[in-house]
Amino acid sequence: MSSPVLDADRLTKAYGHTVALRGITVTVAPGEAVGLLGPNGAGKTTTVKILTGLVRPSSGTARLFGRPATDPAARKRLGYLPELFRFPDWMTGNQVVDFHAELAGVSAGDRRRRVAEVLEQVGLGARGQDRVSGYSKGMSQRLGLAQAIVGRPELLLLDEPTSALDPVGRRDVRELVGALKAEGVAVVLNSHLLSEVERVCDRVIVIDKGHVKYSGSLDQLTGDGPTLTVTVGRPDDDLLPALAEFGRITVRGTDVSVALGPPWDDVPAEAAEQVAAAVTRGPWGLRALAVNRPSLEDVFVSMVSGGDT
Amino acid sequence: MRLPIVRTTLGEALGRKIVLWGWIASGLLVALFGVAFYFLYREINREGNLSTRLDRILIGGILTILGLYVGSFLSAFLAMTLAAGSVSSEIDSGVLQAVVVRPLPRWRWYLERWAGLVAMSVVYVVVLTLAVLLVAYVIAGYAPASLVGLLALLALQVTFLVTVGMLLSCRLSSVATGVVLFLYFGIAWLGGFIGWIGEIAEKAELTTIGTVVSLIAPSDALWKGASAYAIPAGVPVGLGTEGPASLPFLSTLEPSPWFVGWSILLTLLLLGAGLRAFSRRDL
Repeated sequence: MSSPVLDADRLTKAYGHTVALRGITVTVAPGEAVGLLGPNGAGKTTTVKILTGLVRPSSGTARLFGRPATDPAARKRLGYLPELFRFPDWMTGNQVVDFHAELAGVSAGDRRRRVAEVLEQVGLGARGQDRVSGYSKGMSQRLGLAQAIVGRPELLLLDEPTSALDPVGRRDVRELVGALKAEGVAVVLNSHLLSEVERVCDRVIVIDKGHVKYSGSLDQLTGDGPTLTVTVGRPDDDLLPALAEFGRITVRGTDVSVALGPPWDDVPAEAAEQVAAAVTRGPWGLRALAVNRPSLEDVFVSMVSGGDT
Repeated sequence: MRLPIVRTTLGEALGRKIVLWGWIASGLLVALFGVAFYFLYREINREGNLSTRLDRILIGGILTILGLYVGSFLSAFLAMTLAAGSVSSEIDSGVLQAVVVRPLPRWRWYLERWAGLVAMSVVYVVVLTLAVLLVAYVIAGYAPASLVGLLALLALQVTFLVTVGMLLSCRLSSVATGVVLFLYFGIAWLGGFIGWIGEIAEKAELTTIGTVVSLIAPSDALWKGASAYAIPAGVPVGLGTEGPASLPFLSTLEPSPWFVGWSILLTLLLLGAGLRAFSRRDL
């Protein structure tokens, strides 16, 4: 296995008497997309700030590409979009990205082309000559992304990258992150938008009250498996035995919920076809059939509101 | 050598038109000074009152030093204003976070920022001082004893104030830094005034207080040292009076090399303290 691009071990952080982190351990492999989830005040942003060297941990270690996060050399291959940021409003978009390209070590000969390229990538190609003071919030966020990727990072830390974007902007960012991931860039996405995390990330880390509550794949997190909801016109006692082979049955009025068990849990579409066939063979009258999966939001809310996983 | 933070610091001043407005205000100040100087000097000299070269130098000197004093105050004010938000406002606004995660040591950001602010403040005080001196020379033929000494001490004064301001800005908000810095500047002025009263009244305790304050807060003593270089050679001690300077805002004694050395050392120590504070703070 290749060395992790990010490796944080038992991070703690206290601000006076307030303890923000209580032993966070995070590892990210090259090319992996990891979502950081947690309620407000959980410690996500503190974790990200420690990983970028902005904040020093009270104890524990944070390493990027094998070097301490506080070592500037460790940040050569890092791109970062802070949660709360502003760019000098007297600069143009071109100047902001060019400035960050220079700091990131992009060669003088390559800078002009690279700046134009990333502005185009984030959808600001036509607005690079405009001053930042004239940018909308969404445009500023796109500019933030441009500066984060201009140095061709191998690890991208994005703190709420889509919070100010409209649906089109969110889709653009998703596509951009997907493209970077396809190029082998590791991405850490800190977001409140669970649907974004669900669509982009391979793995999630749920932080609550300074602890890691869950670290693993999304499938494991939403691990109860899919269910089918069958709505019939004329339910009777024979219906349940007819569907029992597909999984655990729950009845609510004319709705019959089937929690799919093996082997159907891996192929809910196939199970749906067979359930539909079983119902239409009988006298019950199939009205509707839906495949449901527990959403990340359901699991997340349950986890951080007291439940455990 | 590429200095991106120096460039953006200077670019910020130009982009925000701070410099433009500063120069416009300073141009007005110099013009006002020139007009006032011309009429006052002509009035005093109307009936041949300033018959000797020494008389002309004395009157011209007092007027020139008044102009330099105002220029020094404005330069100090500009330096303090620039320094007050130099770190804290960059943190509060979120500008700094995206910059310092670059492969750029924090000390380098701080040092470049400091160099940019010092460069702006020094250019401002030098140009303003030269403009005032040019007016005095054209109208009254007045020339300072040591232009280099005068400019060097004024430059050291603004450099010191920028250094203190940046150190405070690492720990305090922009407004709090501005208030503390201005109080510090005021304490230096007050210490200088107490020291002057001590000299006039020959009270050693007051003189000692003035000396101690000048060592802790040397900005006023640096101005006074500069003013001593502004007085041409051959003018009697005290600008016409025997003993200490006849006015509280100037000195007729050149600063000791020890004091100048101490001021430079203190500036470097505070710069080091600022570098350390910035490198260690959470952002």
